[in-house]
Amino acid sequence: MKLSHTFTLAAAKLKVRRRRTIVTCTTIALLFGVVIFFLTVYSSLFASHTRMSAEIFDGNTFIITSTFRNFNTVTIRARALELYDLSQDEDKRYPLIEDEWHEGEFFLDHTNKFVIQASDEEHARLMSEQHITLTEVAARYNGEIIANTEGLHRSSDLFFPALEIPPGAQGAMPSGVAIDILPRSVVNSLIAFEPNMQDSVPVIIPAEHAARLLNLSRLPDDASPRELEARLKDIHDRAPGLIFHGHSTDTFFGVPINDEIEEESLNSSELDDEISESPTEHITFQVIGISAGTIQPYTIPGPSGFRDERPFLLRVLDGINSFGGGAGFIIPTEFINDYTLQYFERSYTSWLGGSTIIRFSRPADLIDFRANEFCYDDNPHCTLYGGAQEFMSSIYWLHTMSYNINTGVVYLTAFLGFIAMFIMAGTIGRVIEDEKQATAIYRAVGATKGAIRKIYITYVTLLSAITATLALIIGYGFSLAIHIAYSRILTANSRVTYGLPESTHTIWTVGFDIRTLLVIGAIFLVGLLCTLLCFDRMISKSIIKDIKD
Amino acid sequence: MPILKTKNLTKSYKTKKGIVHAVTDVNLSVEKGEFVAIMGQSGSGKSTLIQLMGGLDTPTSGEILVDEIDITKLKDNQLSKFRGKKFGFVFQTFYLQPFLTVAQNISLPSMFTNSQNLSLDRTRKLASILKIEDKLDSYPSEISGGQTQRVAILRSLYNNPAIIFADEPTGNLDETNSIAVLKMLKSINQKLGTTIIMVTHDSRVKQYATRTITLQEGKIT
Ligand SMILES: Nc1ncnc2c1ncn2[C@@H]1O[C@H](COP(=O)(O)OP(=O)(O)O)[C@@H](O)[C@H]1O
Ligand SMILES: [Mg+2]
Repeated sequence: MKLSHTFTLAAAKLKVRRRRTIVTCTTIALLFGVVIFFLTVYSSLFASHTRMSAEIFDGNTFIITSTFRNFNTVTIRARALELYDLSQDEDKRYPLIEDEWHEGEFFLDHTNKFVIQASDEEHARLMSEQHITLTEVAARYNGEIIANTEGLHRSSDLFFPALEIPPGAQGAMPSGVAIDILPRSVVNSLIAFEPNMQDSVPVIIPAEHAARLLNLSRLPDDASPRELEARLKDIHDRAPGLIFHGHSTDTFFGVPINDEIEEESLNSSELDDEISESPTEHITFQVIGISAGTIQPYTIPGPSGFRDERPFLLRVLDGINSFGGGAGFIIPTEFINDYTLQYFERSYTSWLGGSTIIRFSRPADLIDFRANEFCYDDNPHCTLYGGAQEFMSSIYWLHTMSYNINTGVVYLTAFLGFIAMFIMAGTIGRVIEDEKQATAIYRAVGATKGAIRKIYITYVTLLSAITATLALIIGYGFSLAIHIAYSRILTANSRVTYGLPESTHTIWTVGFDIRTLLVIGAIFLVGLLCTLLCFDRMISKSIIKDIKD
Repeated sequence: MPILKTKNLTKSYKTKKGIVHAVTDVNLSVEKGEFVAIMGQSGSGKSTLIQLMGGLDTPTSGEILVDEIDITKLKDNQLSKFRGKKFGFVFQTFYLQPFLTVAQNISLPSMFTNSQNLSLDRTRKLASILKIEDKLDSYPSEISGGQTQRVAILRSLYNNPAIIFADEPTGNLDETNSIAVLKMLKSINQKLGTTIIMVTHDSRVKQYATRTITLQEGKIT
């Protein structure tokens, strides 16, 4: 069968069944038109927002990262031993002390000057390395590290007015360390060897515990923010300077502890001479600050074989020197005086950290940085541990909102697209079904199935072409209408809402989205597939039966 | 040698009420150039028989030999092509394609057979014989019943078929038109030598047909 005949027969159907053609095509085109409309909105309206936000983004600071690095105990041990060997000092002291509880194991003597020097060197090296790494990584995203001159992002700002952060602090340890990220293990060790322990041990405790010390009644669970704030202020004013004694080995602030481990460790502890029987009875604590948070007991394998929960503070005192928890931080007097960290925990890797501010010039860079470099969810290529937060910023918010809405629009559009495809499939199915008698006549006068199939493929393709054209007109027509009606007011509103300066960008809703081609493709594909499927189902063996049906 | 021959042709339908034997053991032989009229009461199986012979339906059993070829054994596509070349059909309800013009309807068979027949000249010439040449650009809905059946006859003729099957071609026409249609078929039969097998109630057909066969309950009497 000649192509021209195929076309003649297909086109004749379109022309003479004009009403049906128009109704069919318009119905389907309306649906796909809405899909295309959404796409144009997606690619233009919100892209306009993004462009506008990007334009004024330049120079804004958007992120603070807390990065962490580990101390390498092995390196420090090796360096301390090296320093010991090199030293000509007659009175030099060996930097390692044999662990009395674990035969053959040695731990670092934290009061040894070689250990102190080695750890200082290691600390300095790590800090500079961290700085280099961060600088490099940030540069990859056009970001740069800037000085944290405002001491931003330290909860200590809220709770420790007494511990002032030196002006010009870089945020990275040790110069501008924030108390709340002090490595607990460091504190653990310090308290274990704290020379002033007999007097009083400075501690920072959670507000919740301070409330108990102050004999404040428990606030109801549904306390209003105002009440909570007043309570916090009350605690904040009255708690610093409070003296309390470790009063029991059974509980600490009401949290039960395990006696057996307590006693066993302490009996063999070298602190035995200074502390009799139960150490907490003999320790005086002085509250120097309040932290947020509550007790977070951590678990260790207990003597019973079960895991016992114990609050952190007592873990320190029982001499086992574990870290973790959150019942409070014990602050060595030495540390309070000069902020210098010189000690580290004897057997665990220690974590140090600080707050660093990175400035990005484009929102997309910040988003990429966060996505690629941080070790959040199994990111195998990550380089940075810790967290990153953006500042609250209307511009950034605008940017994120655009992103989120765009995602929403994509899902909505896809959903609508599917519905449109299903409706189209149904409609085309009916159109083909209507041709049953014509098909039978064609066969009666000598047409093969293949020839007739070609006619309908051509017919439906023509229908699809009309539909696609209409859909484009409807979609872009909608967009244009919205544009004419709202573009100016949207632009003006955005500027006011987000404080955007006058810029060349206005909000525009008639952009071309490449996915429009996908929609057009879908129209043709659904038509084709539906024709093929329906056609074969429609034809029966008996022509006369088809004619009569 | 007969142009068409059936051997024990049988067709039965399975219905809810049981099996209906529409055509039973029909043995019929038609020579080239014959004008056969098949008559019989309504429901006697005339239409079924003519549809089977024209390859529009498949028999339950039996053979249909056209020029010695058993068309019941042909594959669907082969049968389509065979029909296109050898057969022409005229139905009681004309079955023109409403979206095609009269000219396109007339020449429809040649569109599918790739024959060289298709030309406007030929269409016009054929149309002028049956005096509908001025209606060539009209659509079927715009012409009368008699004209419509003439278009259907021209369509059946277009590929120069060996046999034209006509199932009550006058059933929907008035007397004048009926006689005209019968005369047309007769002249086609005489001038072109086309074999015509026609089902009809019309007793006038006896004047035109060379042979009359009567069916009763699916059997030739
Ligand atoms: N598709 C069908 N299904 C069931 N029975 C049918 C079918 N077509 C015809 N018949 C039956 O077969 C018999 C012959 O029908 P038909 O050939 O149309 O008779 P005629 O054309 O002589 O009036 C009738 O009894 C009719 O009811
Ligand atoms: Mg009949």
